[in-house]
Amino acid sequence: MDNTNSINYNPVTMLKLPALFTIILFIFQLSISAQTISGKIVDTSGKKNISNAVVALLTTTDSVLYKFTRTNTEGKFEIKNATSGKYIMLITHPYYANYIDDITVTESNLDLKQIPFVSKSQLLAEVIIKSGSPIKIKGDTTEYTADSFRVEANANVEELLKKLPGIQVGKDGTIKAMGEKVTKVLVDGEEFFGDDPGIAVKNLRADAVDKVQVFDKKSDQATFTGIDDGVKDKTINLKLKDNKKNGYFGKVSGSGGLPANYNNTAMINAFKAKRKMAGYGIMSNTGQTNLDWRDQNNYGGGMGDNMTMTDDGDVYFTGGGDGEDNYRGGRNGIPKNWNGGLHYSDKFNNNKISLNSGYKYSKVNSLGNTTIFSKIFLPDTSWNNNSTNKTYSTKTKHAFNLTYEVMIDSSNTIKWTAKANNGTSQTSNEYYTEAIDNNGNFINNSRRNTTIATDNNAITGTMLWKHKFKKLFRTLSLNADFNWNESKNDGFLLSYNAFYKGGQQIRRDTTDQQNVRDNENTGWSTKLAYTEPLFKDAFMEFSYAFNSNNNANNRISKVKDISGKYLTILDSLTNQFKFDRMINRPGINFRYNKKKVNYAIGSSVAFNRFVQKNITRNTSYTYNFMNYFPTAMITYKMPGNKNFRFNYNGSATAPTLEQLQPIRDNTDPLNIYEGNPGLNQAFRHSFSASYSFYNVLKEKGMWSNLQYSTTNNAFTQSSRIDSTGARRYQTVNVDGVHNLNFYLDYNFKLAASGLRLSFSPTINNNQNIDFVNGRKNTNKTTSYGLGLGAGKYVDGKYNFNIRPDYSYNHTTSDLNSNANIDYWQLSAWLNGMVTLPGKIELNSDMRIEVRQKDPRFPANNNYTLWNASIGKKFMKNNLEAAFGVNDILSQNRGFNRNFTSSSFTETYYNTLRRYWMLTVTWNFSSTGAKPADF
Amino acid sequence: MKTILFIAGLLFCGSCFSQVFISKGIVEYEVKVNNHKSMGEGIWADMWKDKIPKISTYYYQLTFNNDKAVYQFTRKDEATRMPWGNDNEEDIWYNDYGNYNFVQKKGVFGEAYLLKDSLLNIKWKISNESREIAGFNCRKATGIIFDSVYVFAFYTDEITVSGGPMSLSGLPGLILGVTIPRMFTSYVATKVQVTGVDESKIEAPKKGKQKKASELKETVLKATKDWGSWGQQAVWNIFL
Repeated sequence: MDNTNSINYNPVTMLKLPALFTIILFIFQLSISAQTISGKIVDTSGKKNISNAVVALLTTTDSVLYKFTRTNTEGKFEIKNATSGKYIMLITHPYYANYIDDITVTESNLDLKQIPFVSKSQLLAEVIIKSGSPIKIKGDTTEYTADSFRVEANANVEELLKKLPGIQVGKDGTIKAMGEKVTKVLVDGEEFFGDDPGIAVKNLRADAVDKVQVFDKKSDQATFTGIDDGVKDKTINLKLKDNKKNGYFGKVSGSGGLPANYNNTAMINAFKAKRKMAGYGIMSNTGQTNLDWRDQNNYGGGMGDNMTMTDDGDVYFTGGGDGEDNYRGGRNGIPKNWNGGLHYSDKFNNNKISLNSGYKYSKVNSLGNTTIFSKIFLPDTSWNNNSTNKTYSTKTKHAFNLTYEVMIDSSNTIKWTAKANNGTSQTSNEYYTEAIDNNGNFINNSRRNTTIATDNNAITGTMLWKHKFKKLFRTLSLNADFNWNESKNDGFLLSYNAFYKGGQQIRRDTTDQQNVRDNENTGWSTKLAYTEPLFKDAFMEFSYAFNSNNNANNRISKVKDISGKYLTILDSLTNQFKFDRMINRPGINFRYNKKKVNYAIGSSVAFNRFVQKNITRNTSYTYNFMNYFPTAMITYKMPGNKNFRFNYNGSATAPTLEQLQPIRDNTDPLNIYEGNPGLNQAFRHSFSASYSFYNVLKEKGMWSNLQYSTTNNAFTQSSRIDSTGARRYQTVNVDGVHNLNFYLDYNFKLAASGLRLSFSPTINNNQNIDFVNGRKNTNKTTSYGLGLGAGKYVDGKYNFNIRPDYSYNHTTSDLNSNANIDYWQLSAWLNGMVTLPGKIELNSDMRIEVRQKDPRFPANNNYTLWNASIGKKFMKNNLEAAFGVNDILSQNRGFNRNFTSSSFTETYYNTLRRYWMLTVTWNFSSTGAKPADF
Repeated sequence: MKTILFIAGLLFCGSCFSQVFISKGIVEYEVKVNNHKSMGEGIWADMWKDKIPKISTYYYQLTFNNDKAVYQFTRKDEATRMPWGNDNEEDIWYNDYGNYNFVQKKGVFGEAYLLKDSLLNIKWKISNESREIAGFNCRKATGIIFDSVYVFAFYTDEITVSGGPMSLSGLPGLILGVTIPRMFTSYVATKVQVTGVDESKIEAPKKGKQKKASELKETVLKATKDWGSWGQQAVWNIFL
C-alpha cells in the first residue's frame, strides 16, 4: 500500500504570491534541483515501526504546510522534490507526542535515518509581555481597561491582547492567560461565532473594546446545578464600548426659489444600543408631504411592520396609507404643508421585549382648481356637461402610535398595537356645472357653494398572540381588533339650480341649508387560526373569524327661519340611523408544499347579518347573506428559475347598506342616488395564470401574466335621466361583466455594450353593462399596448433609462354609436445622470405625453415635463448643494381622460408649473454613526 | 467514576496499540449558517431579520475511501429552515484527491451544471492548537481561499484521506471541523461511521451542463459584480 501523498504547488498559485518571492523561487529552482528527504520513524523502545505517522514540512517563516507524507508499514517515509532550504519538520501520530525539529535541505538528498518518536519539542511562540497599567481584580475575574494599553489605529483585538500583562499570544494565535490556555472568547458575554477563540480576536477592532475580562468559566452543568464539577475553561470576555453603539446622525436641508417656493426639512436620529429617538420636520409648498422610504426608516417609525412573509417565503408589502400622500401629482390641489414627527423605540430583556412609539403632526393647506368637460350619450340624444370646481382646504392631524411586543418564551409571542388620531379640517368649494345641448342651449345649470368643518377622532387597537406547539409546524394564533371612530361635520350648502327647455328657463330652485352630520362607528373583530401538519409537507389550516360592527348616523338639516338664522329643522332630510353588522366566517384550507410543486385549496363561508334601524321613523330592515370564498392555487417551479402559477379565487360581495337603503341627501340635485332593497350579492370568479423565468448568468428574464374575471350578479348602475338633465340612479344586479388582462415583460442585456433592453406588450379587454333609462347598454373596451425600454448603468459615471409606451384604445357602446371611440396615446419617460469632473452630478428626467386629438375635445393635451438639476458634494459628502429647475418648458398639465358606457370625460386640474430651487443640505453625524442604507 | 473511565481508556488504548488508521468511512457534518449575519446591515436586512431563523442547521454526508470522496446534503433541521428553501440540496461534490481534481453537480441560479476542474489550491498554515471533534483529536490549520477568505479547519491524522467537506482538501488527514467567518458558516462532524461503507457509491455525478469551473466562475463574477457582499457569498457558495 502506498500511503504517500504530496502537494505540488501549481504555477497558478505561484503567480499570486508576491512577485519578489516568485523571482527568488525562480532563481532558486534554476540553480538547485529538488531533493528527496527520507527517514524512518521508530518507537523509542526501538522495537516498533510506526506506520501512518504524518511527516509534514512547514515553512520556517509562517508555518505554512509545504509537503507532507505518511510513513509506510515499515515506518519509512520519503518526501520527493523538496527544494533546498530550511523547514520545520512536524511528525504527528495519535499515540505519540509530536516531534518537531528544524531541518535544512541542501543540494543533496537528505536521509534522516532513524527518528526516535518521543521528543516533545514544541514550537514555543515568542511571548510579548509588557506591564504597568490599570488592572482590576474582582473575585476571580481580572479586568483590563483596554484604552490604557496603546495599540495602533485599526489594530485588532489580538494586537491588544499582546499588550496585556499576564496574557500571551503565541505566534500561531494560541492565547494563554495566567499560564493557562484560553479556550473561549466571548463578546459581551456571548460567543462571537462558534467558540474558536481566534475568530473573535482577529475580527474585532481593538478600539471597539472597553474592558477585557479574564475568568474561569464553569461548565454549563455546574452553573445550572451549583455543584462544582471541577471543569473550568479559561475564558476571555471582551466588553464592547458603549459609544460604538451610541451616536446620532441627521440632516438639515433648505430649498428655496423665486417667487416663493420652498422645501425645508430637518431630521435627527440619536441612538444608544437598541434605543432609537428620532424627530423630523418638513415645511414645503412644492409637494413634499411625507418622508421618503429611506428617511422613513432612519427618522420615522421604520418600515419593518409593513412587510409580511408567508410560510412559503413569499413576501408582501403593505403601504402605510398616510393621508398626506393624496396630494401626489396635484390631484387634490397644490399643498402647502408643515409636518413633524417624533419616534421612540427600544428593546429590553435580551431583545425579548420591544417598544415602538411615535407621534406625527401635519397641517396641509391646499388650493385646487378642477375643470371637467364631458359628453353624455343617450340612445336618442347627446349633450355636453362642463363644470369647474375651486376648493380651498386646511387640514390638521395629530396621530399617535404604540406597539409593544413580548416574546414570552420560544413558543409564545404577544403583540399589542394601539393608534389614536385626531383630525380637523375646513373646506370650502365653489362649484359650477352646466349642461348644454348640441345647439348650444342650456339644459340646466347649477352654482353651488359649500363650506364644511369636520372633526374626526379614531382609536384602534389590536392584540396578536402566536403560539407554537411542541410538534413542529403546529401553530395557533389569535388576533383581536378593536376600532372606534367618530366624525362630526358641520356644513353649509347654498345652491342655485336652473332647468331649461328649448333654451327657455322652465324651473329654478334654491337650496340654502345647514347640515350637521355625526357618525360613530364601533367595531370588534377576532380571528382564531390553527395549523396542523398532516404528513410531510402537507398542512391543514382551520380558521374562525367573528366580526361585529355598530354604526350610528345622525343627520340634521336646517333652513333659515324668519330671523335669517338656520333654526328651522327640515324634517325630510333629518334622520337618525343605526346600522349593525355581524359576520361569522369559518374557513378551512389544505396546503401542500413540495420543493417543485406547491398547491393549496380551501374555502370559507361568511354568514352576514345586517340590521338597519331608522330611529326617526321607528322602522327596521334586516338582511341576511351567506357568502362563499373558494380559493385554489398551484405553483410549479422548474429548473432554470422558471415558475408557473395558477390561481383561482371566488368571492362574494354583499351589497352595502348604502346600496340597499341610502340616507337621503340633496347636496347635488342633479345626481340623486336611490336604494334598491331587492339587490342580491355579487359573485366574482377570477382566474390568473403567470409564467416567469430569470437567467442570472445571461441576465435575461421574462414575466407574463394572464388574468380573467367574470362576475355573476355584478353591481352596476341603472340611471334615469330626465329632460332637464337631472339623473336619479341606483345599483342593480347584472350578468355578463367580464375582464381580461394580459401582460408580458421580456428583458435582456446586450453583452457587448452592457445596454439593458426590455419589451413589454399588454392587452386589455373588458365588458361592462349598465342601464340608462331602462335600456341595457353593453360597453366593450379593448386596448393594446407596447412598451420598449433601454437603459444602462455605469457605477460612478453615468446611467440612463428610456421608456416609451404606445397604446391603442378601441371602445364601443351599443346604446349610442356616438360614444364609440378609437385613439392612440404615447407616453415616454426618460431619465439620466452623469458624473462630471469635480464630482459634479447632473440629473435630468423628462416625461412626454402625446394623445391623438379627439374632434369632440378641441383642447391640446400634449405636453413635455422636463426637470433637471446639477449638484455637488463638499467636505467628505457632509455638505451638498444643488440647483434644479422643475418643468423647464412650463408645459405641465394635470389631465385625465375617462370613459363610461354613456359618457366620456376629460378632467383638468391645476398643477405646479415651472419653478427653480437652490438646495443646500448638511449631513451631520457623530463619529462612526451613519444612516442605514439598502 | 472518572478514574475508572481513565483506566478503561488506558486499557482500551493499550489493546489497540497497533491501531488501524481509518481509510474509508462516512462522516456526517452539521452545517450551521448564521442567516442574520449573512444578510449584513441595512434597512432591507433589518426587515428580514425578524422573519427568518437566526441560524439554520443542515446535515451533509461525506463518503470517502483513501483517495476519493462524495459530499452531499442529507437532511435539515425543519424548525430552522429558511422559508424559501436551500438551493444546494441537490448538489454533489466528487473529489479525486489522488488525481487532484473534482467533478461537481451544482445548481447555479436554478440551472444544473456539471463542473470539472482541479481542486482548490489552499495554502494551509499549521498551528499548534488542537480540539476534539467526534472523538478524534484534530489539529487546527488556517487557510485562505478565493484570495482573501479565511478558513479555519480542524483535521485529524487518524483518518488518512486528505479531504474534507465540499472541495476543501490538502491537509495530512481528514478535515472534521471548518469555520468560514466571512460565509458565516461552520461545519462540524457529529458522526464518523467506519463500517458498512459502500465504496461503489463514491462515484462522480453525471448529470448537468458540462463546464470548467474556472470558466463558469468568470461568467458568475460578471453577473454578480453589482450585488455587493451578498453576491460575493453566493459566488463562494457556488465554487467551494
